[in-house]
Amino acid sequence: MDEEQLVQGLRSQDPRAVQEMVASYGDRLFRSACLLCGDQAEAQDLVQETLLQAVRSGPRFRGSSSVYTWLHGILLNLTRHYHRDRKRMVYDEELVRQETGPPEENPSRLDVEMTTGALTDVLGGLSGPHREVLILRFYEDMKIHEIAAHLGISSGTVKSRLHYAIAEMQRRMPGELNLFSACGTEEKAKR
Amino acid sequence: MNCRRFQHRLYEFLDGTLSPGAQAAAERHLSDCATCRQALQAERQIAQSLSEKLRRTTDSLRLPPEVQRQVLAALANQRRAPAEEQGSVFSWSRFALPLGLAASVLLLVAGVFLCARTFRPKAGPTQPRLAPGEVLAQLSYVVPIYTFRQEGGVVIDALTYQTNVVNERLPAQFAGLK
Repeated sequence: MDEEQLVQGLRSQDPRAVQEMVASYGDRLFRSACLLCGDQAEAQDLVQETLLQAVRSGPRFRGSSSVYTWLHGILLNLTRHYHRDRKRMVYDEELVRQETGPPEENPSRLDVEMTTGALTDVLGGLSGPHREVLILRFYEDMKIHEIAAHLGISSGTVKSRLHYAIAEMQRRMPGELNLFSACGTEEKAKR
Repeated sequence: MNCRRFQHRLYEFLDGTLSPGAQAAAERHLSDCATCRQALQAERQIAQSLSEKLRRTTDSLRLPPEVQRQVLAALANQRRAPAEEQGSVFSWSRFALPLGLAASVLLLVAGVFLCARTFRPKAGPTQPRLAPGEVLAQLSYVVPIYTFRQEGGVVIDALTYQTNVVNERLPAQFAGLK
């Protein structure tokens, strides 16, 4: 089913289109939701509600953006409500451990554990608006003007938030876990 | 283009969304400026490193299959619900028109009665001339408006009322006055 057929199917609330939407975008939305809210159980609820809202509002979807962008917009709104309810986010440690696996199966376990743990901690410490632009830019690979359109803010505001978010991440990362040095942690682990 | 201007447009340069003229100016500036080349390189490194790490953190995550089941179940319920709702609305609607008409007649009679009892014609340029034995009655009546609209595969009906007011001359006997 191509994008156009998917849009038509969602408009007519065709169960095959809904199934296709979940199969094509469910995992990606779930990962993005995990990064945005930092809690897998909450992320699952948020994605489920996103998909339900998409099904309900499918007949009104005009197809002016891609299906994924439309779904992600719904997810962002729901995540904001979630953050409003929970003033400060607590990052799920499961998300941090998920990547690492058992020690004997993962030779670079130390490196991964250190970097992902630090990464999720620092992400969790950012404010919602700063975390949003960071994830849209570096996880969703969106261009500045696309982020601006997606969030309904100016490109200048996107750049300013992005600049602050990156500076804040660099400030909060401990020196030995410098996120942005390509092989710093590996070198440290080898020593 | 100077360093400040280049760094202000660094993200757009990376995105390739500058105008052709601005892109050429930025490239000329880059060929002459080691500091901006370094800033560009650092930005690329940050983007690559962060993207990689965000993906490594989440790559193994999968949306639990029960979400798909629940979404499809909700869709099935939603498709069933309008049909039931439609049935109930239509059975109610059979009474809508007679009820609306009955309400209109009732309001009309009440309006005539009240107006005729309270209104006394006064002499003046704006008052219509009344023949002997006539009274001026303000009649208000309600018109039911029944509309249908289609949303997807569902037909939704709505009953609304519009109140109209007119001034009429009526024989006093008809209004119940002597």
